[in-house]
Amino acid sequence: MNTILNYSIGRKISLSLMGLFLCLFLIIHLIGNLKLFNNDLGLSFNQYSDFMSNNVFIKISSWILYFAILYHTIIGGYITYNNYKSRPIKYLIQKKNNISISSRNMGIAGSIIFIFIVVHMANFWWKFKFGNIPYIQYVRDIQSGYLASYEDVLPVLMNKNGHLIQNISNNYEIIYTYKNSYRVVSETFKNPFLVIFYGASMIAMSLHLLHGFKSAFMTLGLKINNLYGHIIHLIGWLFFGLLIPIGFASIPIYFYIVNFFTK
Amino acid sequence: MNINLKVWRQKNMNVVGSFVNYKLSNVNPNMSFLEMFDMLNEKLISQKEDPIAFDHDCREGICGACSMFINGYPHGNKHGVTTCQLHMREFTDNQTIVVEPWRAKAFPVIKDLIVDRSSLDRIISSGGFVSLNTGSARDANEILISKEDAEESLSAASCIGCGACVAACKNASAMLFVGAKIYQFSKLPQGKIEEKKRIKSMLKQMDKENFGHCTNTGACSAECPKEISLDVISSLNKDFIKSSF
Repeated sequence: MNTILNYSIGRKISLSLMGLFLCLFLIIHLIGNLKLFNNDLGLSFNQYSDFMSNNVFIKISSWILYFAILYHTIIGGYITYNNYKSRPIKYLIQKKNNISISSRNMGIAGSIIFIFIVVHMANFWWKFKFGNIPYIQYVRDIQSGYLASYEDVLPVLMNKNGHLIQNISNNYEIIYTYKNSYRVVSETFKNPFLVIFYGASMIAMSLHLLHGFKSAFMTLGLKINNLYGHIIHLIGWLFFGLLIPIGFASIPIYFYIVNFFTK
Repeated sequence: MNINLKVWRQKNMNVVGSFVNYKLSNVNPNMSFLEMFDMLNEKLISQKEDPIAFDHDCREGICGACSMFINGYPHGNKHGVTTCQLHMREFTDNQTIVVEPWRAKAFPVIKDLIVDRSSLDRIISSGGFVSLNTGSARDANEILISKEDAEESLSAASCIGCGACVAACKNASAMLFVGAKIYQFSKLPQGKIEEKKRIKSMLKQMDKENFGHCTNTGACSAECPKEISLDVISSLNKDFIKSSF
């Protein structure tokens, strides 16, 4: 392994593998986050959030994820710095010749994404883990299946991990109490500057992945000028360049608009 | 036609160069770009000035010597040609043409527009030998090679080592060059024997020469006068992975 990383191609291969792992994470993260759009006063998102912070498998995966983010950033930065150094005197004029904006600015887009990740984790990961988050209690009517009522509560019945909590069931209703992560999300996106920052970061992510997804496969040996190459190009363009960034960006925009009109 | 030239002048490797402006009148549109430079140099010599040093050899597009970065493009803005095949009719009257040497850490400027491209030669020589037996001529059909493989190998072998890929790449990466040089052998049974060793040592030399990493932008292939496909890079990546196990 160490010898592979001594080669420039080897470093690029490790970078592309980490990048594709992060792409996989984006899909899972987006699917989870889409629960924010469920019209159930945040119950499904709070349940999901509680599951994510207590599951051992998720805990291990998250450490792998932090490693992947740091590795991709550090090695990516090292490669970009080396590439910059390999042309000490720049051209007076250098035309781009149909080379896409996204492929020319991987380093810049990547840096924006890294700053975004730091801000994003400070906003949510830190708050969920160490912040004082309000608790909410839902009551579901068993017969109709609908939520009968909900109210903010004090965390009286915490387990020893400090998480939740209880699903009390009696004959006609189920009572759930959860950390109200949904409300944290909703409150955070009242800040218009943050919404703009999130939107801009998703544009950077789109640019980074428009080239990055395809390029990762090319670094792993896929020829781009045949059928498989075109399929990968299409997937990268449609999902990672368009749908996933739009999906993520829609969350802050949605909450900002909802908060704006309920004020 | 009249043209204005802005040419990089640099006395030797150790001094800092700068751009110098020249005016040239009565340029024949059918001249090649190099012939226009000959004309300029004759004028400079008659004025007892130092002529502009530039690389050239065959002047028919197969040697890869003429290395000029013209108005932002290696070998000028015409697809699939070297500088000697670029004609003055591609430019407009009174146009300002900026001419720079290839710029890369691996290609130090020797004088004016001439760069030292021996880094590419050292990559080639690090590849070592290919096991081809000498002796009496062997039957042509003794080793069967499919038409497709032969074509692909030959199209990679059309690389003239001009360095336009390095010059065009934003990272000054030599991956298209190295990819083509490895691909031409990898496609043939004779080249399989030393393949692993060849890939490792050529890539090691490439890194040693301070070329950048590849970002798969495709600028190299777009500027290659021999139109070598970007797929040789993907193929090199694949062969590198295979050779690591």
